[in-house]
Order: sequence, then structure tokens, then C-alpha cells
Amino acid sequence: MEEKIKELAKKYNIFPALLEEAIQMEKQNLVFTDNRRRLLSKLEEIIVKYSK
Amino acid sequence: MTLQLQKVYFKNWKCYIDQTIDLHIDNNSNLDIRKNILVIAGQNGAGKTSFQTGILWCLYGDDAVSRQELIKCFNRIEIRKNSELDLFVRLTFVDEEHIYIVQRGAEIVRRGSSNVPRVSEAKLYLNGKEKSDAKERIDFLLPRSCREFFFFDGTKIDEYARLTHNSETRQAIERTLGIPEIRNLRDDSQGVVKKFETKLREAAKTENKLQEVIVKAAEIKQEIAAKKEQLKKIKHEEAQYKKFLHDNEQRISQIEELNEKQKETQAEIKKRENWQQQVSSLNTQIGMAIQNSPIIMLSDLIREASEDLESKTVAKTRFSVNVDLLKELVKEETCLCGRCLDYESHMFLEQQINYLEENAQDSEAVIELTNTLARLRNLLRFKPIDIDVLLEQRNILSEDIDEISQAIKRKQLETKDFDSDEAKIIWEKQGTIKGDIKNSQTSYKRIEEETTALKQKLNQFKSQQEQLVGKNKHTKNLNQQLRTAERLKQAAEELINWYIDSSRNSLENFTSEIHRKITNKPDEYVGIKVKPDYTLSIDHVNQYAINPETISAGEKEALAFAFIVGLNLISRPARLLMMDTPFGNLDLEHKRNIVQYLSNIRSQIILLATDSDISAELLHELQPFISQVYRIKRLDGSEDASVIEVDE
Repeated sequence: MEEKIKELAKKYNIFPALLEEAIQMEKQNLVFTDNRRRLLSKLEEIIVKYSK
Repeated sequence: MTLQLQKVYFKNWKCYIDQTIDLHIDNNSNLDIRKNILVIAGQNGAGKTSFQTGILWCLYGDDAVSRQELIKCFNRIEIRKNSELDLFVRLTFVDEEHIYIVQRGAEIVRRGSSNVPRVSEAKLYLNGKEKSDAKERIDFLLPRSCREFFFFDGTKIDEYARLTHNSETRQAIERTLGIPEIRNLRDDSQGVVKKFETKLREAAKTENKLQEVIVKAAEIKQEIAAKKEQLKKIKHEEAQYKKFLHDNEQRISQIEELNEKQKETQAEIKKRENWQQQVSSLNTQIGMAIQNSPIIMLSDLIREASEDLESKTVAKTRFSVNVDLLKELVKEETCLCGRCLDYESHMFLEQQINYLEENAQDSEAVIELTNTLARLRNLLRFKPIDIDVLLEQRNILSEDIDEISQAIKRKQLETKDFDSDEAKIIWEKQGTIKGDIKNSQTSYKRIEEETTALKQKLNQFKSQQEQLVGKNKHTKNLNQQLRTAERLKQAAEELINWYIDSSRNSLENFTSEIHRKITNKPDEYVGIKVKPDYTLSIDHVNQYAINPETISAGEKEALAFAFIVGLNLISRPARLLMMDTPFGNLDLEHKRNIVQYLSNIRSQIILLATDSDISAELLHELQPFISQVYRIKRLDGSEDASVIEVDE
């Protein structure tokens, strides 16, 4: 998984940490699947963080 | 990461009035290095199944134990003492980072004239903090739809091989494999892209040129999305055509096989005719042999007769000599005294001579008989036909004819639907399908080129957009965030496809490896296929797939065990495995294979077993990997209670 994340990060020109953090966020919040809007805000925050 | 059941507490749950049992395995937190097995031993009726049911009820409530059944779960003796009795179960799970406490209670309340249980919802505490979404979190830890994969009943294990046919279970398997979170990431990143696009459009409201570029770029994106949908559809159609092509090829191959069988049948019919002729010829020979057989049977008789005749011939010769002598005697002129024979004596002698002469005539017949005898003896020199050899040959041929007749009948049945024209029709269809595939590929290529052209156009707009947003810091930042979100979305799309394939492949590899180790037919069953819907098939060494429905109950159990353990090995975190009557109805070889394999599982394994489930021999093999043995002891008969104690 780690290798694949690195490979994709390189291919799509993003930080591996962005992908890792996004996956981690989804894992931690998996039980909140009925509240997508809340998750979008969390993902938005992560993207803003890694877009600087 | 491993999820262990550390502690269980029961209050008034069936035979457990006030019981705490510590199941924690302290192996320097490294379950990969053995001692991962706990054995809870007890005789039938001691409370093993009650132990497992209590855990299931605590986790899944009514889904595991209905209200009707729950009323029977209050301790029988205690409920007589207290009509408002309450029961309670608390479970403590741990992994490397978290402590999860799950608890549930129920009490008896009076409703009308009857007592009914009132059940409270499960509560979950994560690292000491109560969580509002206990049900979902429990489902995340140990999905209820595939709870049998963590808490299984050996007597029902053959049913588990079919569990994967249920869509809810398939979802639970994906949850166990960690697929939903990656899928959610893909969906969420798509949502975030749209959110950033909207934000950027809002921010660029006052800048006409930028607004125009953004709108055009959005239009092109929509076109690209539509093209991608078309490409997906064409790919799907192409896959369908290829499947038809493959199915038809298989049918043609079947037809060719049937054709071949029909040819074989014709050859076998000819062979049978030939054998039948040989049998007929043998029958003739046997008939002749039977006709000649009296000679053989009479040979002894003739031999005896000839010996008898020989003796008679000698006697007759003696008689004829005597007659001549007597004739000489009765001639008068030969008498010396004339008084030596009186009349009566003379008559007597003449009678004797006549008698002897009559007998002397028989000697001619004797000579004839002697000649006949000689001829018969000559006959004896001829070797008769060996009838036994003929009969044996005929029997062998008859058996061969029976055998070939059965084979012919079988093949005739197999080829009864054979239609020599069907192959021609299918070949013609193949041509059409190949044409369809070619058309699909051409369309795919064309749409792909159109998509590439659109992407180039989009890139041009994006470049323009980059230049225009650069004039304003806010729009520049938003544009940068949008780009990141788009890249994340692309990465997530690729990641989910890879992750699903990779998880299924790993599951397939683990299941195959375990199955090879535990099956009693390792030379026949060479692997397990896990299909996209998580149904299973067994690969036979002769390169065909076996439907698990067609194998024996014991083999189904072995397959289900391999799948459950395979899933456990790949799951994140690795969950505990609690096995009630662990080996069901498996034979000794399967049991031994499973016992030998248990030590390879990195999870906490709790075996609930009677002495007969795990024999002394199996227990001896398990011993190095057992962390602790507990005994369930029944208390005094009046108490209806059991206690679980550590077996020292």
C-alpha cells in the first residue's frame, strides 16, 4: 500500500502525505458515512493544507 | 494490528451469575510469535455456547438473540428470587492503540400478565470516552454481516461456504478488507473538486474573461466526463462480446468433443460386432466339442470292456482245445477197451462237445470285438478339443462386449443432443461477434482520440485560467487547491481499482495456501478462486473449476475454514477468532491439518471445546501455542450456575 501511494503521488504530482492523510481521515471517519458533507470539509482542509 | 478480546464480564447471563474472565494474551504484543490460542474447555451443557452467545448479544443485540430467546437468557434460579432481574454483559477489546469497551444490559419488566425483557442499546467507549455511534463502530470492528467469520460454530461451518452469496455479507467482507474507506476517498475527492470549482467561479464573478474561461473549461470537463462514460460503456460491451466469443469457443470445443465421442462410439460399435462374431465362432466350436465329448467319457468304459474281452478270448481258446480232445475220446475206434464209456457217459460228453462248439463259434465274434476294440483304442489316440479354454475365451469376450456396450450406451447418451449443424451456426455467429468487437474497438479508439483532443483543449483553457487567476491572490490559491483536488481524485480513482484487485488477489492467495495445507486432497485441489462477488470455486489439478456446492460436507468445512482464516489474515486489523465446537464434523486428518495450521494465524484464537472435540493427541500438538486453558465448572445442581476458572 505504501509503495502504491508513493507511486501514485509521483504520477499525479501530489505529496504522498496528502494521500496518506486523506486515507487515514476516511478510515477514522468511516462510521460517519451518512454525513458526507462533514467529511468533504475535512478533506477540503487537508487539500488546502497541501496546496500551499 | 490485531484486535483482541481482553476481558468478558457476565451478570445473570444464563449460567454465569457474576463472572469475569480475563482473556488477554500478553506476548509482548506480538501475536505473530505464537501462544495465540486460548482454550475454554467444558462438557456439554457446561456453558460454552452460552459464553459465545452472550458475547454476540452484547455486540449485535436482537440480531444475535431475539427478545423471545432473551427471556431464557436470564439465570433461571436468580429470576425466581427476583422478578425484576437485570442482566448485563461487558466486553473489552484492545488493539495496539485503542481500548474499546462494549456493554449492553437488559431487565425484566411486567407487561400485562407477562414478563418481557427491556433491552438497552449497546454502549461503546473508545479509550474511556463514550461514542454516540456505537452500532456503526461495532460494525466497523466486527461486521455483523460476517460475524460468523469471527465467532463461528463448527457444526454450522459448512453453511459458511455459501455466506458470500449474500450481498450484505459481500459488503461486510469488503469492510473487513478495508475497501469502503478507499472508495469513500474516491467519492469524496470528486465532491471536493466540485466544491472548489464552485468556489473559484464565485470568486471570479467580477472578472469576465476568467469567468468565461472557467465556464468553458467546465463545459469541456462535462464533455470529457460524458466521453469517459461512453468509453466505459464500450469497454463493458466489448467485454460482453469477448465473453460471448469465449463461451461460443467453449461450446464449439464441446461440440468437437461430442463429435469425437460419436466417432469413438462408431469405432466401438464395429469392435463390438467383431467380438460378437468371434463369440459366435467360439460357440460353434464349443458345440462341436460338446458333441464329441461322449468319446472322452466312454474311453474308460472301452478300456474296461477290452480287458474283459481279452480274458474271454483266452477262455474260448481253451474251450476249443478241450472240444477237440473230447471228440477224440468219444470216437469208438479210438477206444482201447470198448467198455471205457457207457452210453450215458457218451451222451454227456456229446452234450458237452456241442456246448463247447457253440461257444467256440462265439470266439469269432470275440475276434470281431477285438478288432473293434483295436479301432476304439486308435480313436483314443486323438486329442480331444479343450473345452475349458474355449469357454474361458468366450467368457472374456462376453465381458468385453458388456463393457464396451456400457461405454457405447454412455457415449450415446452424452452425444444424444449432438447437432453437427450447431457448430456451423456458432462459427457463423463467431464471425458476427468478432465484427462487433472490431466495431467496439474502432469506436473506442475514435472516442479516445476525441477525448484526447478535448483534454488538450481543456489544458489550453487551464493555461489561460492559470494566467488569469494569477492576477488575484485569492483566485490563484483557489485554483491551486482545485488542481490538487483534481489530482487527488485521479489518484484515488486509480488507487481504488488497484486496491480491490490487490485485496482479492491476496485473499485468494491466502485462502489457497491455507486450503492446500488443510485439505485431505492436496494433490487434487490446487487452489481457490475468489470471484469479484467473493464467491468461491476450487481449482482442480486437471484445470477445471469445482463448484463448492458439489463437494462433501467435510470438504465444505475445510474450504470455509480456509476462507475465514484467509480473510482474517488479510483483514486490517486482524480480528480474533472464536471457535465453538471448532472442528464440526471433520475427519481426523482435516482436524490434524487445521490444528497444525492454527499456529500460523496471527490473531487471538479462542477455542470452546469438549474433550472429544480436541483429543489428547490434538491437544498435545496444540500445546506449544496455547497461552491459557480455562475450565468451565458446574456448581451445585441447585444453583444452575457455572464458573470459568484458569486451569493450572
